[in-house]
Amino acid sequence: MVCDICGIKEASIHFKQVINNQTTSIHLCEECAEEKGFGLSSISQPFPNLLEFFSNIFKEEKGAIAEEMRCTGCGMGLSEFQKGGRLGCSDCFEAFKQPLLSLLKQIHGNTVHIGRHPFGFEKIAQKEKKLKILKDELKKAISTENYEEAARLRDMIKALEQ
Amino acid sequence: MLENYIKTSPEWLNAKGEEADIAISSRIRLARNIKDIPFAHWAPMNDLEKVTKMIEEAISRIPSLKNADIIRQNDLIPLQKQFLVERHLVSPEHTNSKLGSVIVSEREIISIMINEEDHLRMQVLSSGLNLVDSWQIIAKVEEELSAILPFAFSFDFGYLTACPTNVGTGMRASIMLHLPALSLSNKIEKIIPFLSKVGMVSRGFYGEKSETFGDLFQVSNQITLGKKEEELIEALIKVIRQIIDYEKEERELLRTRGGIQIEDRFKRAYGLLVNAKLIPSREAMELLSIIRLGIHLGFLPSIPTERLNRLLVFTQPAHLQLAIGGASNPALRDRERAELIQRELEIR
Repeated sequence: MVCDICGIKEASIHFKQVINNQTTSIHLCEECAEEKGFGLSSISQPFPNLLEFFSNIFKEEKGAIAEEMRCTGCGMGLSEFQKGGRLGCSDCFEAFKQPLLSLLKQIHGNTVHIGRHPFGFEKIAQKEKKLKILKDELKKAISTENYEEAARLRDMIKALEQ
Repeated sequence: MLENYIKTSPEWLNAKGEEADIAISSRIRLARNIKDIPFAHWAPMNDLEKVTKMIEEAISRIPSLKNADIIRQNDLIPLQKQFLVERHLVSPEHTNSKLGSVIVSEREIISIMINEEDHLRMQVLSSGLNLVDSWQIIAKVEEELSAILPFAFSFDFGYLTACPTNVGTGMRASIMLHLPALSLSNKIEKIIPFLSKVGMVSRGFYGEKSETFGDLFQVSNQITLGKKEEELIEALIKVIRQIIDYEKEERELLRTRGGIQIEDRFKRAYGLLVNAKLIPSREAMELLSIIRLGIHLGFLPSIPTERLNRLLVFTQPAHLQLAIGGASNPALRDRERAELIQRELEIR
């Protein structure tokens, strides 16, 4: 699912607002969430208080309630992860990326792996690198309103992702 | 199958490795998961079956695991499950796995738990301070499996594990240390908090959440993300060597300045082990720890370290019960334990 604001990046933060019985779902990528003030970088003790943090955000908006962050891969909710301390599947790392980054920093003092990698990793790594470059170019093309180029880049990304 | 295990002693108890008097054993484990399947604690039964099938099939193609045993938790009675825990072949958590099994190589050097918290927990166990060789063994097994099994891996986070404390390398290296002199002088209480400052941690005899007894401390790396496996191992060895040196210094102090009090302590412990008719498990561990030190310092008759190592494991409740053929009451066990200790110390 792509971000509702930039329309480019994968949305990793999902929430729902209910105002006067009207439900609105919003899906944001990390950067746009940060920009709109829904980012998590400003919390001092992020992990244990995340739920509280989220509910506080929504309390400020009249009549709005928060929907729990949930992994689309395995259905695990953030509160279940917080309670049990264990993630449900590989996709949870993307779904709960923001709280996880803070948690990993606390545990390991680090958030990026530099050790061993699986068999055939180099090939995959090259593909990922190329994807990142194309996505950056796509962002630029959109910001300069070069839609022809953007469409071309989007097709290239799609082909590479398959 | 377990009958063979009760008759034989695993490689890691043979006291042949470096510093084997203090560093009883070395262990390295790697946590891995199969891509696109929920982690074992969260996966439905059919996924656990799929994981088991995939891993067992892959293992049958690995030369170093050619003659390995496959032991399934569901085939075992509670006593047998406890035996595997005492043997350090499975974790206490694994005994509750919905579909757990363990692959055990010859002489119990390599073992792979299937469907513990993660789909695979592969470990290598060896005697003494032997992390470098252990790493080479487990790295090779992992590499061979990696060519067959698609492991869950991300560019940022490395190997993905159910618990964020294992993510990255998925590696936990640990050394089981016997530190009676540092315990006696209470200096151990200063060392343990220091460990967390350098990214290490001390755990009990059966690993995470287990108690410390018999002056046995399992020291391991706490950090698994952001450093290479070799770096983590190197840092751990450095810390372990330092602790071993402290223990040696403390032992020397006891030998030269301990006086009659320390000699009395050793001889009382020895007297109890030699004469008692009933020895409970906890008391056995404490007394064996004291006499191990007394023997090392030359206050007691010499007994090979390998035998003392064996006693640490073979005097445990499930080992004793399976040796006599089945479940027994605690009093009978305490008697069996006393007799076993006295046989091994060549008193009887």
